[in-house]
Amino acid sequence: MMRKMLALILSLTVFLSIGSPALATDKELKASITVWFTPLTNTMEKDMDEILLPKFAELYPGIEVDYQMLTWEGVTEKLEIAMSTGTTPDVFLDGTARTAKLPSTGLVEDVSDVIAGFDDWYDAVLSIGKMEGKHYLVPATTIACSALSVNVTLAKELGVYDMLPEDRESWTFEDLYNFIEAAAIAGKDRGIYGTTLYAGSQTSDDIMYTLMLCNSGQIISEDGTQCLANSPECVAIVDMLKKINDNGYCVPGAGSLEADTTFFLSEKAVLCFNSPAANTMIQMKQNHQDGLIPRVAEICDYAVPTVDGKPGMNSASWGANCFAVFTNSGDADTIAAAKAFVKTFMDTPEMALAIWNYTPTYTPVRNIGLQYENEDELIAREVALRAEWSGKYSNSSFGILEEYWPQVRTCFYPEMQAVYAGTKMPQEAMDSFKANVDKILSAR
Amino acid sequence: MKQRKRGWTVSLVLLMVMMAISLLPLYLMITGSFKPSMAFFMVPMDMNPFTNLSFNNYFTVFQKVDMFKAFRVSLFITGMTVLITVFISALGGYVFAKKKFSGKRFLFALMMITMMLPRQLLMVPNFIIANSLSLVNKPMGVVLTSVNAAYGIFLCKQYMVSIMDEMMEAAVIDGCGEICIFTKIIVPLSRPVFAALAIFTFISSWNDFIWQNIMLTSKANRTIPLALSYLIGLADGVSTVGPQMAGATLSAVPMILFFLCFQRHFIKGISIGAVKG
Amino acid sequence: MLLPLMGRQMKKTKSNIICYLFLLPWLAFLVVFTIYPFVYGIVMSLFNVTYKARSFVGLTNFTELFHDKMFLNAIHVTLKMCVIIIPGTIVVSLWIARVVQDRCKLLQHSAKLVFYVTSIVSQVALAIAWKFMFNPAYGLCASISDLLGLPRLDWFGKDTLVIPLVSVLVMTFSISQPIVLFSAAMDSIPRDYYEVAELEGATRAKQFFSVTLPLIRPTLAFVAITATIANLQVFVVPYLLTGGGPNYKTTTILYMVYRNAFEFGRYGYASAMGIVLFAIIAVLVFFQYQVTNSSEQY
Repeated sequence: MMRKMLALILSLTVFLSIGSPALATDKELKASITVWFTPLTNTMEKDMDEILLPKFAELYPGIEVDYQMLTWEGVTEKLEIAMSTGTTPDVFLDGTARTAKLPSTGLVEDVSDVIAGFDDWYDAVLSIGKMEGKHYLVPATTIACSALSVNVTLAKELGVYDMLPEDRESWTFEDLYNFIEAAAIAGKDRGIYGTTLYAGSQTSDDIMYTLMLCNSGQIISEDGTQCLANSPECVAIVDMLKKINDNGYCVPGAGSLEADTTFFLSEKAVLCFNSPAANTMIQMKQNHQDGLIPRVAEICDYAVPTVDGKPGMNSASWGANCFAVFTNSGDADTIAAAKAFVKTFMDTPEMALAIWNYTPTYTPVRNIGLQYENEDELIAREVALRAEWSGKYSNSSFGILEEYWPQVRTCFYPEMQAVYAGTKMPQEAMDSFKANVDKILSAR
Repeated sequence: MKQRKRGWTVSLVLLMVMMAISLLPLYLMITGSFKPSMAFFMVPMDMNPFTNLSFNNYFTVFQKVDMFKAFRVSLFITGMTVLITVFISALGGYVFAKKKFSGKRFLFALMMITMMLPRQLLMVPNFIIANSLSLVNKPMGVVLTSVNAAYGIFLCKQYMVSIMDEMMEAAVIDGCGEICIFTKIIVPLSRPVFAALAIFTFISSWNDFIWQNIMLTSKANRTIPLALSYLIGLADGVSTVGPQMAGATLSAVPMILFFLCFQRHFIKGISIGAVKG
Repeated sequence: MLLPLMGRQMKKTKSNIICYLFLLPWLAFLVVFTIYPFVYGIVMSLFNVTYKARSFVGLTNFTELFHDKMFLNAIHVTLKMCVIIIPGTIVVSLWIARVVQDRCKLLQHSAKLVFYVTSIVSQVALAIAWKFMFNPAYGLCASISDLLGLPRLDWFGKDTLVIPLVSVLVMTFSISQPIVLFSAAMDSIPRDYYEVAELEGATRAKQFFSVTLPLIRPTLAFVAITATIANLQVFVVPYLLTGGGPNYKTTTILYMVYRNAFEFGRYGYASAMGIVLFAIIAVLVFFQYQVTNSSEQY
């Protein structure tokens, strides 16, 4: 009787001391896992060695971790070859460009249990990596939604600041066009353009989709069988961009320009389509320190306009940098160990904070009160605003995370190039885009 | 005479212009390595070689990247690749140049064909082989999978064909066997073409980022291109072009030195082979 | 009667054995690291390859290829570029080698070094340099056009301009090895030949065509063949500079192969493309070989 009581008390103690359900440790789990990750912070290896791995070793002493930090160059080839030859790692952490298509390859494990082990997820995040009701990716940090940013200092100097919405969100596409036009005309003598348009490559095309979505257009139909980008709403956006280009309100050479912030950073453009305000200000501060520019301007984020001019943009987001657990040989212990690693990472806010502090657009996935730190108030304000918008308006479910999206992207920017070069009219270009995408969708 | 002089001046000017255009990227690379990263992304671009100069980028490179270790690894891989390639090419070139044997035409055609295969497609099966032979993540594995001697054999063949048969016959009369002919006659005379081949192979092996990235997985085995690629995105949230340029400049130095050293042989070499070939 | 025959046979066999022994290292590498992948590539082109499974589809990939407008465009683009690059490389490198021939050593060495160094410069630097030069908004060419009063050209935006431009930029690499090869070949022509020609009243131009060219014919053949093989596989420069644009006007065959193999994961389809590329190269090289080496004995 005593023995039974003792056993009960002992097991209760053990059970209670396990702590939060998210970290059900199994100290006896024995396995060895390989982890690949891309450098989401500038000291990722150090962070891993000093923060995550010691914690993990403590919780799971029986699991050996062999990690490899990949480099941004050559990741695509490396991953493809690994997948084609069956030499994938157990845990893989990378941005959506490569992880988004993983669920449909059939090579990754169902990680719904890891997702279920945490709460306070931001809504937008939960649709990432979901296929047929199961989760195949664990988001580690979200990528902020797309929006516009304006050089407010310059706008004030050019006298066009009043054309911007006070609450940063309430304006229509006509307001946007008028603003760009006014800024370009006012800045003409100083060699300042309204904005930069770019179609040099597929980079930063998410803002293009956002513009269309906010104008009530749809890119892919609900059932995913056809492309709707040649609808009047979408073509209207392309029309607007073409007008900006043809009238000279944007930097010349739109068809071949890359989506970089060169002109915006040199204060030669007033509006920017592809970089958050905080990032620009951080870069400007560095450039100012290096003696390359005379001053640091105030940059502010502005929402993409909506049809009715009220807040509530439908903003394309790249989803998140995600974890994927590859099935490989299917060994239960290895998979459990891999999942344990992911869980531990998710339960280590220092890692998420390090990533956020390094790249302000990689925002936390869960509402757990992390604070972005920067002594510059302006920067901190913009980061908080963007993160708030991401939580409210991010949309990754219009197709951007599907496995066919990489092919869709490669069809889009050449059409824009044709529009900017004047070889195709907007309707023609979008019809051609639709035809190509329909082909891709029907081949699935 | 005057017309000839004028014609030559025009040619010279044209040549200088072409050299200047070719040198522009090199100039940018070196200048950029001494400037802050964003100097290239200013409008107008900051290319002035006298302003904003500092060694910061180089400090960053040596801080973040273990250049000495990477150099040792690169040197080993490239050195071994060059040695093996030259060895195979020497043997093969000699045989195609001087000897008759059944199947020669077929093998020669086969050799030419191997030069025509796009590398992208060979990467997956090569990796499968490397994996099954446990060559992954081993420098020697990179060496073995990178040797492609077809170009070398072709080059050596062109050269060796011009070596006088009489010399070989004299050696035979003197009692020289096959191996002796090869080592005492062919090889010494072919040193120049070996130098040429060494340079070509050195350059392609040293810069071969893609294959090194796929084959070498651990930190200890990073070659210079691999190690330098970790600079991308590693400069505290700002553009990292500056350190990349510094790294690229450092990486170019061994190649230029190698070229300069071997240049003398190199030139003499191709000449004899190619002319009479 | 049989004995001498047998003797010759034995000698031939012995000679064969020795030759194959010399070739053994090459053959070993060939079989393990080249033939197997090649066969793999051919075989894969007959399959529809996904990560988990592969299904045999016979020649479907090829039939799909020939109806694929993008692929046909890529063939068109590649050929258009090579028509400029290959003859261009040969002519320009010949010209440069000739200009520095017999001039002061400094000029010779520096020309060779300069053009060779272009092939070892970092690709990032190259991309930045060229984008800077040809940007219509703030590039070097824009400034020069302004100075000369000419209109600014959108080099990377207009299809008629972009192909010649990209071709010329590829040539800045492709001339490096030929220059050295031609230069050396010309260096070793005995001066007597030129003296004789001059005595006979030949101008420098005529000397080039009647003395120099014939004597470097083998180098010419070598350069032509290797340039063809290398440049039909043009990929890196369009990839870095134009992303295959504008509107697919610089998307070469190898670019399509890369895209299909690594971005879309369609390895079987990409293999089929690779086979077609290989076939094109093989045909062209075969013709070149016949034309330039008709007198050679193998």
